[in-house]
Amino acid sequence: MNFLALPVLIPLVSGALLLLLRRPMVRTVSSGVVAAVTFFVNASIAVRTWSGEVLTAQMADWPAPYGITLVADGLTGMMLFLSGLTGFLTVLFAGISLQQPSRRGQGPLLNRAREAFGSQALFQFLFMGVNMSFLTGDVFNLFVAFEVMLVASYGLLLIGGELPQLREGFKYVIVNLVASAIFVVAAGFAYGLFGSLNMADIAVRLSASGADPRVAVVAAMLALVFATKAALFPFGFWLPNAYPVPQAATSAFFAALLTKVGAYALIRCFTLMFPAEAELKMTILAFAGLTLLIGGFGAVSRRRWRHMLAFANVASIGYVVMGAFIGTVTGMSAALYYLVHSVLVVFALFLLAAIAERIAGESYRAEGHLDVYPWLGAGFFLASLALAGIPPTSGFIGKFALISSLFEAGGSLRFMVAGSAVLTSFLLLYACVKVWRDFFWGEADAVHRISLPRSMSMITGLGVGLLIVLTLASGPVYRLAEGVAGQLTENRSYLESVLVGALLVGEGD
Amino acid sequence: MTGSQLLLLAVALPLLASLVAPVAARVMGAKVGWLLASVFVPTLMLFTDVESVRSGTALEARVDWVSGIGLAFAFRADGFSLLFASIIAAVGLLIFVYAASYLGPGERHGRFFSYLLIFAGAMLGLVLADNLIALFAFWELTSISSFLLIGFWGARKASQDGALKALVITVLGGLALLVAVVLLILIGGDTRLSALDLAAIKASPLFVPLVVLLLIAAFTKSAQIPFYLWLPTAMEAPTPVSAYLHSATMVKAGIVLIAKMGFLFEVAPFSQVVLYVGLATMFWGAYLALRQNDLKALLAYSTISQLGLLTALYGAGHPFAATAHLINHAVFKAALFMAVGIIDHSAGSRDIGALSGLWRKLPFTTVLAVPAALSMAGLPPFGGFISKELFFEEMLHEGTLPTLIAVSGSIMTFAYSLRFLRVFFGRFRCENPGVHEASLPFLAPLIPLSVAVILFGLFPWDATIATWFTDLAAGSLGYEGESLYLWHGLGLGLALSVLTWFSGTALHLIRDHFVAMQTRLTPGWNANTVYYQLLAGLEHLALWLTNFTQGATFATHLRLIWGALALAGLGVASHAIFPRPGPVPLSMAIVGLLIVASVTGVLLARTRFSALIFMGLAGFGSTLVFVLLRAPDLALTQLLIEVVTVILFLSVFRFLPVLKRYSRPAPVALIDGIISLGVAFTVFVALVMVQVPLAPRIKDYFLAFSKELGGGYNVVNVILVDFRGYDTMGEITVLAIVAVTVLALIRLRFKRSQAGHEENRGER
Repeated sequence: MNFLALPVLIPLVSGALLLLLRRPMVRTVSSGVVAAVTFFVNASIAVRTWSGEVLTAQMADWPAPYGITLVADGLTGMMLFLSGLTGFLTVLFAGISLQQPSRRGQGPLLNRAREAFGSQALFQFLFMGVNMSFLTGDVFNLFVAFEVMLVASYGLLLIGGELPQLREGFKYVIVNLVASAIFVVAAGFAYGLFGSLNMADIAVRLSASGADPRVAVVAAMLALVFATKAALFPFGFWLPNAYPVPQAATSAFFAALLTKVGAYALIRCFTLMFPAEAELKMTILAFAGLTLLIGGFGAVSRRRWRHMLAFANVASIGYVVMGAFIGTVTGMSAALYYLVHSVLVVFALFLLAAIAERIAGESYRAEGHLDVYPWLGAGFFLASLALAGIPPTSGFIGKFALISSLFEAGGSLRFMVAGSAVLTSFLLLYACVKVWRDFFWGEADAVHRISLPRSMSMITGLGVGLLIVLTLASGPVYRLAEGVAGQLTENRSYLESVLVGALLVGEGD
Repeated sequence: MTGSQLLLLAVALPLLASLVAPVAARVMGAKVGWLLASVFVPTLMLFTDVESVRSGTALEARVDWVSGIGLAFAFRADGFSLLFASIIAAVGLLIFVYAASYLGPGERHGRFFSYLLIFAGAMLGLVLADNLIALFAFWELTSISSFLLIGFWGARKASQDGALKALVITVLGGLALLVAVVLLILIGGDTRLSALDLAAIKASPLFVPLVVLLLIAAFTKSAQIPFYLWLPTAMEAPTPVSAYLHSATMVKAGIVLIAKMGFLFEVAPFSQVVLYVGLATMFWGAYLALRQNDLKALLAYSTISQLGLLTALYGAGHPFAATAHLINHAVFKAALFMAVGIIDHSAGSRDIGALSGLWRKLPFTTVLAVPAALSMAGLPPFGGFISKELFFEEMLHEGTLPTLIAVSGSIMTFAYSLRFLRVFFGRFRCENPGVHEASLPFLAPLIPLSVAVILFGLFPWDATIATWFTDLAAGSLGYEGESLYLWHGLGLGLALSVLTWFSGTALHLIRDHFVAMQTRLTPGWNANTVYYQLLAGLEHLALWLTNFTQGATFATHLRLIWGALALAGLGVASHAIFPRPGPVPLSMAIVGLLIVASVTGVLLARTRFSALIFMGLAGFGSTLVFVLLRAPDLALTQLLIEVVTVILFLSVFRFLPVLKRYSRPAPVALIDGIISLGVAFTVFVALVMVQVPLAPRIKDYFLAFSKELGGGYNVVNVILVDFRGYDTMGEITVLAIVAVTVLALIRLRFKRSQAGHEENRGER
């Protein structure tokens, strides 16, 4: 079933080919087509996994655990679907951002220069890395996927060469290289201690060998790496300043998906390989609670849209990780539902911010836009409610499920985390309402209508529309999340599918 | 259409209509209000089933939404809910008609009615909801939609401020409700309000926090002390909004909560808390209402006061009196707000000092408003008198102190009601020469309200009027259906009423002195200043915290990551059992020393060139390690990498700035040293601990099959290009991406500097 490699191979090949194409228009169109194909492939894999099936592919036909195994279970399917969807929209949005100069210069011209120097190809490489990390069932291969993601994202962050880009890009790459260094060391130790790099194999070996305190060292190292990637407190201070600097489409994808890869890796590691590391899991839960506050207060402290949203994104990572580490299946279901919501809401908000920046430039003193741009206002308001978890949006369902799972599981730490979750949702609402007040309310005299590319508004509308769809389809999506959470907790079928025909160490003798 | 379908439609129709309103308004303008008023018809039609509700069978309807968390649109119309829904619908209908005349042609009618419809739908959902999660959802939706309504004139700073204040306070209360709902469901074992396990809730250790949270929610929404401050500034909303939000709906949401969950508050300390908070609010609201010069502000503080009265009655377990007053208040307050809107519209002012004798110009308004104002004052034969009388009687049961507060509050209520009436009577004074009576559609909504005020007062016992309503709620709130009487007999209650009228009149006459005293007594701070200070505090805290964490130097961010790695090793070293490492060969020890020495050299180097030499030396050391481990191919590879690195460095040397050293303070240097040693320790610990794996390593497979299946003698090579070729593909891609990025960076900057920063400059 080697079509599992397609989500990696399609972007890889097309990324390389895009570098050869000469004309911007051709590049833009083919990039969009390729992204659509990837989305289609991702979605068809996803749909198959959601029926409970675990798909695997042994690369070069080496039986697991000796070669590299690609695995797609429900969680992978979920992530692939989201990455395909947001990736496709990102490419479209980036393509449109090249059109029509805005009144305040900046955007399109710079974007055109970026496009000319390979941003389309870099997007494809980024998608490759992202899909690779969702599909892999191998610790070292995950490291490779992270490397691909890191350099591609670093490239996208830098391209354009503005001063803030270089400054924040430097920090971004150093922090991530440090994380990579720790990752590669940890992967080495993982092999040394467990004797294998295949995650399923490690899981089987660990459950057979019984408790050993040495496992915690490797688990902690990996947790540290993924926490840094996911911008978890106190390792995430690099993120909020870095994400607003690249072009709009890039920061939308970064915020919506890239940080979620870290969260995904945390979830995968601790459900598959280290479900028994209770103390470490509690520590991560506590850190997630603090991450919420950092994100919430940070959002309140920032007045520029994208800066505020970068912090809001940190908070939403906090929610996802918090739910995943409550330690119950209900908590995991809530976390997975929230994950879907979080990707969509952050993505929609960043697109809205891109339009706002086109209208008003970087200036955040601009006011009175509701009368001139009522649809932008409606979209922002709706997305804000979703972000802060206010009814009747999908965010509310996620937030309610999370908080209810925390109380259900009980314990003083979980109560405290619940407190910070509740407080953070207030802070996020307050931050959004301030933007609403400053940008949409106020005197409309100084506001001039500029014409936006119609397709730009359409994609943004689609982004907000996806939130509405999610809200309406919350019943089925939540059931899906419950199914996936169940699969993560009871991972027998995952292990069997990966290690099919292989010698199950510890079970044979 | 069955009853339960109708019930769903009652809530859904306003919400759905909110989507259509902007389109309809584009065609019809403000008159769309007349059309949209019809959304309340399904709610009023619920009365077709009223007899069965009366006999105790509630109407129920349910549509599942997210069954995973138990969220469903489950509605249950028992007597009280139905009564309340009908008030919301009836007043809502009148408000929509009224708003159609109130809004000028230049306003954004679509948006206005859209907001108002969301609000109405949310309010109906709130009172009818049986599913606790849905109840919370509607609760929050009222907060959100009222935020939009209060800030409807968003260009005004005062509107923005009022809207934000209402949102902040009610949403904070909403969060309390959120946690309370979660706890109720977990402890009570059901998502349905009507099916909660009361005994389990009362026995739970979380009972007290639960009730406290519920009370916070109710008090914030219903503007009780100390949360009342959002209500007066909410008057920045267009008057139809104020008339709706503050007579029948928004502020009554908290009362609904207290009434519906009364079974939780019955217990001793809570009923007293609710009683006294309510009474204090009643007193304080009336006290502040006396000072107001703006008609609308007077009504706002009056609303706070009346809400206090309702809270006290429901909280102390007198639902009959409370329900009677709830109906009365909704009716007379809506009428009064509407009258103020008309005055504002035609006289161009709401200043009590600038207006009097308006009956000459506004005769119909006067006729319609006076009964409502007298009802507020508690005079017979108007509805307010009857419920005020019941209030006194219940407070007499509660004791002396409650009675005292109730009476003194009522005296002030009487006084401010007289003051309200002043604008209609006396010498004519109005600065606007064009003052005129309102049109019939504008006045029409007041007519049924005023008629109700009079009917409720004159024929309270009639089974088709007020008593009919109070009876309706009897079953669900658990009181005996009593009759309301205009004449309660010569009791202490009547005596107190008479006392209220006379003292109230006296207070009105000496009002100037009283206000002067109030001004003297006013402290330099109040709930508002506290609110602004807290909000500023929040902003400061957010800014400080964020600057503290973000402002930390980049090195500190790295310290945190490395420090965590160091801790990981230390934490495990304390309780891990280590396998004994074997003997270390002398040659390896020497090479190890060489590497450590050269890395130290890199750190201490004063010039970049010497640093480079030391780096090369360290690389040479690792090459030696491979040699000693008998891996000549790896050693060769490593050597090649080291050589290339040094050459590359040398070639870009001249472009790099001079190496600068930043001195760090001794403590920082110490911490950094500790972290570095900690990291080294962790790595060392890990190295030792992996000497004995938990399970056999899979290397044997590679050794066995490398040649046979992989076609190569060099196992490492076969692993790289075959067993794990997929990894290698990724790593090659990494290099390609780096190349693309570097090229782009150089070329783009180069091109830009050629173009003279054209694009970058823009309009800056």
